Amino acid sequence: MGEAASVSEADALDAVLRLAIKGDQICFGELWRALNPRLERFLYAQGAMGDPPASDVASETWLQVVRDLPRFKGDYRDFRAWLYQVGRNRMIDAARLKARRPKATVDIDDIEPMGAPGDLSEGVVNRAELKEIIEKIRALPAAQSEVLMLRIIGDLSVEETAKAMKKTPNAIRVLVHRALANLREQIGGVEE
Amino acid sequence: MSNLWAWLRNKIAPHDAYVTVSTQLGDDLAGEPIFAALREFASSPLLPSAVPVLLLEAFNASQKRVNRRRKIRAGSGALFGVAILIPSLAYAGVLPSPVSRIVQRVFNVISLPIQIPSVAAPSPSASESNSDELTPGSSNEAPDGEQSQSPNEVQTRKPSSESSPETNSNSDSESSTLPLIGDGGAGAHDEHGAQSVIPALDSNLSVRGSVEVDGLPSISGLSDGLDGSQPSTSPGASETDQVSGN
Repeated sequence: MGEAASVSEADALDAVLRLAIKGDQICFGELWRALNPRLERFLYAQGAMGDPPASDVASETWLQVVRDLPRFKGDYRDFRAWLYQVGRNRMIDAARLKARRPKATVDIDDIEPMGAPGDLSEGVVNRAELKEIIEKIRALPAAQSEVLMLRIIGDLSVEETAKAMKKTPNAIRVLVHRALANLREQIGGVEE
Repeated sequence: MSNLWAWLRNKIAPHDAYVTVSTQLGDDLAGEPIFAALREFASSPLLPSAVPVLLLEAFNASQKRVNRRRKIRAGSGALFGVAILIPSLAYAGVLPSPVSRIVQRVFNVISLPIQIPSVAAPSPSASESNSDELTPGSSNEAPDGEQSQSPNEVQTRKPSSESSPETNSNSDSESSTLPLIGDGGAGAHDEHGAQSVIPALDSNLSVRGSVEVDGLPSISGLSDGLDGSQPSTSPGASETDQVSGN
């Protein structure tokens, strides 16, 4: 029943995507509403908990997507994989930019808060647990960390993750397997 | 044979094992309790948000750009098609004669070599006199002597008259004057050849030479101008000019 619902939802989103490619603004808005929250959360978890700000990187990602959308060919799943691929690349760009940027000499405590955007993890009940698991995942090798984030937060399938990371599905499965083994080892070591 | 098979199996086995293991790994993330908090974070209720205006503007701009590009591509394709089709139809004789004539004229203009402007200033009167010289009605035997030119006059005025744009643009006068220069009638459209040949001939010859057109009688007496006497244009000459002028 749930599978049938997800299939029909995917079909509906396929139609929405086709209309968005043709230039329908409302359909593009629907796509954005369906995909942006998870994308922002993926970027938030992947990019050191909001540094660089996930919303900024997500905006850059969507701008790039909008620019290349008329040339996109594929269905909704392909689009999702492509979106996360663009998001990964923009995250890498942002990280490089941040590394090149000179460090601020002003003490952070002297700056008045300007109503910064809310922390994406605010609504989560086990916030401490969330931060801990994100830290542990980020401590893994980059590919393993990324594959876990894409699969769990981005909710991508193995095939979609493979497209987003430009790897084969089998390589993704192996990466997930190794990442889980490493993570269990880390958690077990801490608990011991 | 069996050894070969065993060797192949040993070679292939690691890859097989890799594929088997990797496909059997399956979706072991689904029930993993480690990621409960992460899953909760990913699927937590979202604040209703609107699409940023900047993003919508970028979307519209992108669509406009795509539409413009599509139109330009379609327009250039159509132009290319017309540019190919119309000459083809004109040469096939499908198009009406005025259109065919226009196409032919355009083709003639395109196929003409580029003319390098000469140093001498163009003199429209000289070209007029040359064209008059060759028309049957106004031969060199003008009674008052204004239209008739001595060989020396022709020698001095010929280069400037040849380089005048009027003479070059007038294909009728070209087809009749250029064979007179003495290049054997080859290249009636070769203005450069005319310009380069005439000064070389000026020292020895006047403009009047013998006209030889295939299938037509030659103009006799034109070479008489070498000795400075008035040439007598035969009736055949006027016929020749008319034919070549047409």
